[in-house]
Amino acid sequence: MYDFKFADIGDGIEEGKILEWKVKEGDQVKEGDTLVVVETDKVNAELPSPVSGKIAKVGKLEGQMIMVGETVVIIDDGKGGDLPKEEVKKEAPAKASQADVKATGSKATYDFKFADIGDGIEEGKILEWKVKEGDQVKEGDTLVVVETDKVNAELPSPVSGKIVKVGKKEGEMIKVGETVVLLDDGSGKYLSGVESKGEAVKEEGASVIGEIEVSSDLIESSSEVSAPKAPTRKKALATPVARNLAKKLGVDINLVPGSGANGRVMKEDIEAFANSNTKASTTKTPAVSIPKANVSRQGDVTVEAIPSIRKSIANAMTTSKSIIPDTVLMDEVVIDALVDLRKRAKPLAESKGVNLTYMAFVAKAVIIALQEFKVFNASFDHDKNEIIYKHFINLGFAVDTPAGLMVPNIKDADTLSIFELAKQIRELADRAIARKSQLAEIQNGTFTITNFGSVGVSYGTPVINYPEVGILGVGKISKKPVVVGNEIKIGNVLPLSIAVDHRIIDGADAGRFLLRVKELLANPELMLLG
Amino acid sequence: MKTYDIIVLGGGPGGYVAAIKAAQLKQKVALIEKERVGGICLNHGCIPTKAILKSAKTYDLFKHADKYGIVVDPKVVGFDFNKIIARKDDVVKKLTSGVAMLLKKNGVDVYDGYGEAISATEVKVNDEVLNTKKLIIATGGTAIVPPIPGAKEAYEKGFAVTSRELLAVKEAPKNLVIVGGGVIGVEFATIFNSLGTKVTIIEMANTIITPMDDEVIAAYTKTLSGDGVEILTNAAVKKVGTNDVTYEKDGKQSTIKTDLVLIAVGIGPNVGAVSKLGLEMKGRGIKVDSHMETSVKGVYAIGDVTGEHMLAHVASAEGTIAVENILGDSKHIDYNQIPAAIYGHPEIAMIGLTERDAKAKGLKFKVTKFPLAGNGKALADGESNGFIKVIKGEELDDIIGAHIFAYNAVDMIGEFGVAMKLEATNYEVSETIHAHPSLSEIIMEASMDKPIHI
Repeated sequence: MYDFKFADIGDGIEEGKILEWKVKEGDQVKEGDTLVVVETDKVNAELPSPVSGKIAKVGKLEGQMIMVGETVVIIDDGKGGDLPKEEVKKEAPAKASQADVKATGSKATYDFKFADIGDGIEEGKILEWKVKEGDQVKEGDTLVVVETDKVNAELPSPVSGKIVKVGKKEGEMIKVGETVVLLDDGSGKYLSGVESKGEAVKEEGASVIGEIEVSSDLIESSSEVSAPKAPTRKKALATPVARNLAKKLGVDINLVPGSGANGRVMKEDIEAFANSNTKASTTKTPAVSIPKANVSRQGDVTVEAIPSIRKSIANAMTTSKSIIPDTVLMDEVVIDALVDLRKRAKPLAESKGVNLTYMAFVAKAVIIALQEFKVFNASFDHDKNEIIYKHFINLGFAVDTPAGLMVPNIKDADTLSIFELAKQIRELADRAIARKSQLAEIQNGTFTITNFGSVGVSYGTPVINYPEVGILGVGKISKKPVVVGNEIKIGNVLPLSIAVDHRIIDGADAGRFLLRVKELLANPELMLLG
Repeated sequence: MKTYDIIVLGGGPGGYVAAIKAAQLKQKVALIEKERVGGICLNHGCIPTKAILKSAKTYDLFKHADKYGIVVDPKVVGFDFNKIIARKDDVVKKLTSGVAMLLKKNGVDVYDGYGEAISATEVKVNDEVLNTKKLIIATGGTAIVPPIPGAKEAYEKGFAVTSRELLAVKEAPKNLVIVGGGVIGVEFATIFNSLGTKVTIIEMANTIITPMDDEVIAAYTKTLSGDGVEILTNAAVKKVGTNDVTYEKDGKQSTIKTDLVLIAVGIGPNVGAVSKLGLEMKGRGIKVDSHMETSVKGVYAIGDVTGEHMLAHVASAEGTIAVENILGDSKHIDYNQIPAAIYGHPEIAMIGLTERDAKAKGLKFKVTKFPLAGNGKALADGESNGFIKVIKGEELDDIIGAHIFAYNAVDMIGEFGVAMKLEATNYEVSETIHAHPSLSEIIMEASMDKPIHI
């Protein structure tokens, strides 16, 4: 047996989405035959078979995400050897449960579980059911709207069939791994996750608003040997010694995957986590140990639980401020030429349905500067002491929504014109305010702009959106006396504040970056040239 | 030709446990054993010595019965050595036939004969060749007769014996010289000393039972000497004669006359049966990785044949994980959590590191000791000689090592084993309510930073 694992194909790509299988279980393949097309951040990769043989098992289904190290396929190459452990273990219970189904005569159901949709989202609140028990649904029909930390997600049905049971009521919380609905798809292929023990259920994966990561317990049941367990935020089972060590090292024990019985976190797990918590720091929000809250509740006070979006903001801010030693530079730029240009371009923009804001110009100036100052479009891995330069610009911008701060980002912003930027900014902001952001829109940003000028403020010290390394604060444009030649004139002045990660960006670098942005905003025709 | 999933070569505590475990996991298993199942441990080691020790202790108890207010005429207290040996044989038989029954019940094919591995997948036994997918070598070890002048000749004539022959002697010798002050040496010293034999231990190192904690060594040495055992350390045996032993100590040679010499300098791995496999060795034993697999894929080795630890319970644990690893698991043993025991009067049990080792490793630790004399049950039992010593991690309050020197130390060490396995701190152990009166209260007290009853 050959266990073909998804390998690191470089460029920091750690996961891909299975786009299309070219083979199925039972097929004979030759070495070099294309097995599957995987969509990654940057490329669609065709994975060739490393050996000739028979496909014994495919690791993931189309639409599912696959992480580096997870099994793509298990190929029977005729060399014998054992299947990975879970194969051996699963065989018996799977048979037994099939027998169970027959014996009881009950119709098997598809157990659609709430999957980990990434970005640290582990739970959601059922906002609205679009179906009820007994309804017939088609694959892709929206079943339910779930409010998560950041987005309201519509969960589409993974299969066609009849709703046998809904897992949670409106208003209830649903956690990753819990049942959304049980569906009878008539195939008799699936077993009920409610009645069965779970390990016998072969998961078909569940889909949530396009981008999916299979929940950790699915990973566990399907590839226990190879999959590094995704860190999940729950109360950890841990040994006393491990707890003491975690405390000493400042490790959040709830994020450490446990190797002991029942996933118990052992001392060596803490040591391993502390030594090699590198992946998490580049792709996910890392753990930050916060001192216990010591907050008085005496006197005339009201206690209110915060919504999940606020929790998310609190965590992001704490993370940023705990990890990043930032420094802030401020300056102002006279943008009379830009004011003039915008005035002249506005009618044209309107004719194209674009509301041309100053933000679009600032965005363009920042994008150009980011292309020239590459370290501003990077992340810093302090565990490995490596800078990860990103050859794509996903420009984030802060949106003031009724629920709280949201930071959607414009994907591949460097490929867009100022009009297109203006249009995207409006669309993304509207969706964020309506809480209809797609998950992908708030993930994987590379640099952020925040506009506090809209609330009348000139300067600020914006907080960097970790693991980004810089954020530009845009203040209120106001008319001020400015010196031109030897005369005092009235000019349109735009204040700018930039915060940078001082670990990899020095003040002088930040100054030069700001200087370039100012230059572009002062002479907007330069932006239209490059 | 018969084909098995797993063939286990050797039926000692490593081999038979591995065979039963594999059979429970639905493997087709054969076990090949040249003598009786149970290995050294059941037939010639742990169990028979414990049976005889019980007789020795009982004799001792009668001799000191007045201590408990029991009046026994010392003239009528005696022992029948043949009956002691007969009882020992009975115990051994019960256990080994029990093991044989378990093997049968679990469907293990037991081959009575000397098995020799021809290749990684073929084993020859009684002129029959068996095929196997995986092989577990559990051939154990044999007591070493060191190259001391005269030792080999004395062994052949029966003047010098190893533990195996000593368990089959017809009568207790009047004098016994024990070469080697390790676990086996001191256990026999206790037994025969109790039965009235004049025992002399000759040990090359500067102490007996060197792997133990220094304080335990000192206390045990004092107890043994007090009971009348002569202990010569830093003493090298130069020659074994026909009725005497010559040794050198402090540059001076001396000769002691004796009825019998016990050679207890260690156990060497039995690797003859697998010499054709060309396995990589480590010292005299077979080299294995943490999964118990040898340098040849599909061939595993467990227990004494690896030349390490030489403990029955280690062999059993290794046998179990070898089988689990064969079936696709990835287990290894934490050798720091293995208890070690010395039976005597009192007993010694330890787990983890000694204070000496902890120091050598540069660990930050504290030590708490609690004496048996402060425990009600020990006083009531009239067994107040001993103490518990716990080595505690300074930073994590983890249990670095535990050392029990007490009359039933070995039965108590398990609590520390569980605590270490679960990575409990000393705090949890000290907060666990222990029954009163019991010796186990000492564990609780010794786990406290400030014991109550001291």
